[in-house]
Amino acid sequence: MNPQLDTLSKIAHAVQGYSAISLNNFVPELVLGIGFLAAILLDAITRRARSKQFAAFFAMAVLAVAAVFSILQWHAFDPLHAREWARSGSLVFPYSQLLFGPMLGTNSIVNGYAMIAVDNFTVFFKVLIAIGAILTLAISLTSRALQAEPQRIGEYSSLILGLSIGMFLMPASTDLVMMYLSLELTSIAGYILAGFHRKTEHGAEAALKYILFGALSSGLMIYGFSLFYGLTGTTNIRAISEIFRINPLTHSGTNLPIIWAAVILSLVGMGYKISAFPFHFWTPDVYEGAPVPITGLLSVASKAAGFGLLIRFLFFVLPPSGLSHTPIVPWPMVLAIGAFVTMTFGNIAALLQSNVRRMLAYSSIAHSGYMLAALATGTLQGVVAVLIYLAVYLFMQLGAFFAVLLIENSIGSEKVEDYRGLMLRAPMVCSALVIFLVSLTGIPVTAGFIGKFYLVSALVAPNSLHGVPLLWLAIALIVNSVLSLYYYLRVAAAMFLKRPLVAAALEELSIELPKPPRIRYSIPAMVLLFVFVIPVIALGLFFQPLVDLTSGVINAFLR
Amino acid sequence: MADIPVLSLITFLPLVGMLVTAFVPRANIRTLRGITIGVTLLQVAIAILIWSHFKGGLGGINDPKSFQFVERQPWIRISGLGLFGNVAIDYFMGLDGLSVIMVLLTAIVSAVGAIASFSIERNVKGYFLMYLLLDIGMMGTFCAMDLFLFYVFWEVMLLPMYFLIGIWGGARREYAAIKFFLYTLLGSIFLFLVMIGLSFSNQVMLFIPGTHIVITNPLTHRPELFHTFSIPRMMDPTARIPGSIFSGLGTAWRYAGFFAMFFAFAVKIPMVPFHTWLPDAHVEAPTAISVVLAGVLLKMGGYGILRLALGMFPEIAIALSWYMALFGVINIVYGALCAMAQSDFKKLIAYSSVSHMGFVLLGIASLNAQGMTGAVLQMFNHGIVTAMLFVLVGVLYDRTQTRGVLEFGGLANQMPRYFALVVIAFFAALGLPAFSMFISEAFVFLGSFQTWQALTIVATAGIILTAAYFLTTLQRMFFGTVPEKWRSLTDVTFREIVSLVPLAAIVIAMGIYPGPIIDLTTVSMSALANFLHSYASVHAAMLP
Repeated sequence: MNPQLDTLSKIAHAVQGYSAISLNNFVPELVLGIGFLAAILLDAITRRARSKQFAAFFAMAVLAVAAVFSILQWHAFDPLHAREWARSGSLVFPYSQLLFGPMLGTNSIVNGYAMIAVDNFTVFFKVLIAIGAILTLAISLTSRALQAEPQRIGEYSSLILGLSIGMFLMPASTDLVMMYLSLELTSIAGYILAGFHRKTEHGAEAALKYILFGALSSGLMIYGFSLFYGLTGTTNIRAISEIFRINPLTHSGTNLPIIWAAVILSLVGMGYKISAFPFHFWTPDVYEGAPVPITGLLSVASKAAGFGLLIRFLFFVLPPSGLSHTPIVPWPMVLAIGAFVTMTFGNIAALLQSNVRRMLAYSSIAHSGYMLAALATGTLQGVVAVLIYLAVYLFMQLGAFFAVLLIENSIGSEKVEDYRGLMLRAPMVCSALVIFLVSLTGIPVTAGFIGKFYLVSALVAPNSLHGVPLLWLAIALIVNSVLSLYYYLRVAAAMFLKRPLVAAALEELSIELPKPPRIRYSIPAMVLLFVFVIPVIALGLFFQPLVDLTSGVINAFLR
Repeated sequence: MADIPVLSLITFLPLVGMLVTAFVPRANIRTLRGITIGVTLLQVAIAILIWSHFKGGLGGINDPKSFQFVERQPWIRISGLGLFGNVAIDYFMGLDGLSVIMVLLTAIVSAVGAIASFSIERNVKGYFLMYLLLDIGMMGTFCAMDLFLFYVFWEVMLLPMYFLIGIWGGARREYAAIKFFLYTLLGSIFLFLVMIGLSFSNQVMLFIPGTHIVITNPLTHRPELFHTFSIPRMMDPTARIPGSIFSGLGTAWRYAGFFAMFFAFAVKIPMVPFHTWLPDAHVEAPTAISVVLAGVLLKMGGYGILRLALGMFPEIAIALSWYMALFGVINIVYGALCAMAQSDFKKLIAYSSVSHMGFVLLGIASLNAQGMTGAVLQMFNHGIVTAMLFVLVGVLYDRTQTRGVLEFGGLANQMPRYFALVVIAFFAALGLPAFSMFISEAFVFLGSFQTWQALTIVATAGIILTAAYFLTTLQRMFFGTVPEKWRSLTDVTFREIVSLVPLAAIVIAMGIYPGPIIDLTTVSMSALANFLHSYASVHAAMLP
């Protein structure tokens, strides 16, 4: 019997064991879904602006509940035993439970052929995304631009919930169809939110660019997926990888260029989500035109979800050697080149920006490049390093956007030159922004340093896949961080070292201006600022819990 | 003494100062100054206490057991799936003969800098917060015996230094500050890379804290191996993993590692092609920061080479020692020639620093106990002397707002006490016997002549050049007639005397009776020399 057909029939057989009981693995997403509908209803029945405000708090509560249910799905993980499993080469998933599929232990070969996987890897991303979304909603409450339209807060909050459902599903997907659907769900909510300031020119431009690029890249991605389906007859990523393994005909001879095309086209869609070069064109305009909190959310949570999807796709469909067998397509090399170009381009483009938000947008492209570099090792070290970096990046990047938002609220500008002398007017916000920028550069004692430490460690660690460590990429990464220091410091220099242009000009004429008044910030805003500053410093000093947590995630990759 | 965590105390005392400073109203300038001066004087007291309890007979360097005042707590222990292997990062503080002198120097220079900070008038609170943060970084760098911890302290200094130069500096302060930051960061990221590579190349067994029981794997009951960051343990060749990136001797990877590490420290020293940040930073920095920069920060380069570049890659250091000596001589002569051409008093001293730090490189390159002892002494003496010189420049600048050497004349009569202090500092700097720098330069020559005769002879020319520019400057500024506009210049004030006289006393005391300081370090430097000599045969085998 044809082994490929054999496998497929086994899968079909296993999938017949659908059980409504497995729905209990879907609770976090159900909570979000119900919350999403409730938020829409709530928005429809309330009239007063004050009660609309309530929607934001409601959405935060829904996300918190979803996060708690996600944490309940976490499986306590004993690294020592996992190591034994890894050594024994067992095919069994030790811990992961699969939705819409047979439960653990029934049949070790077909186990894992489902639409989504509920493993620690998924849980990690879900919690990360929930935290990101909650913080984004909290930030939104302080945004002057959003508060100017109080009638639309309800709509805004419910859209964030919708976006979160998509982002929850992205790293969980183990089926190409599910991957596409979750990506589109995220994108559609993202398009609306990016263009939320629809009356401004920038807002409309942002939404349009986001849609056009999104449509193009997801179209290319689904074409790539269709090639996978054509080659293997299944859309399940684990089944695809299994068929590639047992049937060499699927990836040899004339099929090889097709696989190349399938991989590259699939990477387009994912590259778009994480804004990797050359699929980044939407990033600066969307980041500049969208409401600041949405920019933060897109650059942190949406990017994290994109990385989750990318890791799941690459490591499950085309596992690199050292995990189970050699990759049929040398994607680590593709990623290495992509990472190098992405980080270098992002940093050089960021050097040329005079708008802080645009600068942060380009720098976020560079940060994607750093993370891609770690993935290019094709090792689990690389995956763990990316997870650590994403967690750290959440606080520093969102914190930086929050500081930019607070400054924009009071001076109405995001230009570096308008930041001059701001330290005298808003010392707390300026100091916090410097901490975030230093962390983004990767200087101790901030969390960003730990993130860089693990990324570089993954690149320097002995690597069985490439033979030698990817040292050239490690050097590129650290030289890029020096480059990034220059533009991050320009913001710090403007705030702390320079005086406002007007004051400087008047001083030439020896006219003394009265001291500019201090900018007053509300207490909740200051508290929220500390919510970002404290993890950035604390994780820089004591990062053991984070590393232990991320190491617990890799059970998803053992088989 | 053994029970008190002295090193944590001396390192984190400024943190207490920062917390107190944060709650003092910004208008209360006297209190703000008082806190920092109090903290730094307390540090001096602790440093003297450490000095008095320091046992001179213990070597340190590569022997973890002979470090003193050791504090060791597990900081990060990652024993997981063997993904990154087991990683052990410790809060490991300790002193040996090399670092104890640096701690002493840092305490003294920080206190002098704090007193010199009285001339700061703008945003005093922010200034002292940054100054104290810098102080933590400096102390910590010299006390840390865990490479990760060392790197953290090393980098912590960058940001406060950037702001101290950039906010409170002179006209071109922004340019100087960013240049300093970028240069030093470029150096230290390579140190970062080598640090990670080294940690992956070493594996050791660890004890459960406080016991002598080896940590074992609960499943296999075999001892667990950890990638360590402990500096003395990393120097142990038996801990190296075969086949790892830095395994073996004299391999291309080890050359690359040495170059990367040496570059990081060469920027700090600064060694000649990488020195261009120094004149800018010195000229633009406020007086107190110049004092700290020249007094302590440059020494980190020499300290790093001795402790890390030599310690981690001994056979490469031996193979390349001639080039190191050559660059040392270039530093001495080039720095002196540049200093001769300066008419800005501060720039002149900045270049004299380049010249004097060349002796440190030359001493290290000798690879024997005398030469390296000389290098360590030179670092200490140069720290004290340049601190004094920069305070002296500051005295004149505060009064006249100019630093042009040629604008002055006849100040000997106008400011006699100032003149006396300048004479002491200048004579010490040009290496006159009975002053401190003579001893250390003599030691350097004594050591380096045994190894590199020709280069040492060239280096002595540097002494003549040094004498030439210091004596010319003395003549131009202090003899002749006083220009009309400086008729009203007043002599040094009480506060300035308080900061200068102790330094002058150290300079003279070290010149007449250097024994106590030399005794601190010779045993350690002999240990380092022995460590290097154990690799000398490898070097012989590497020769074509």
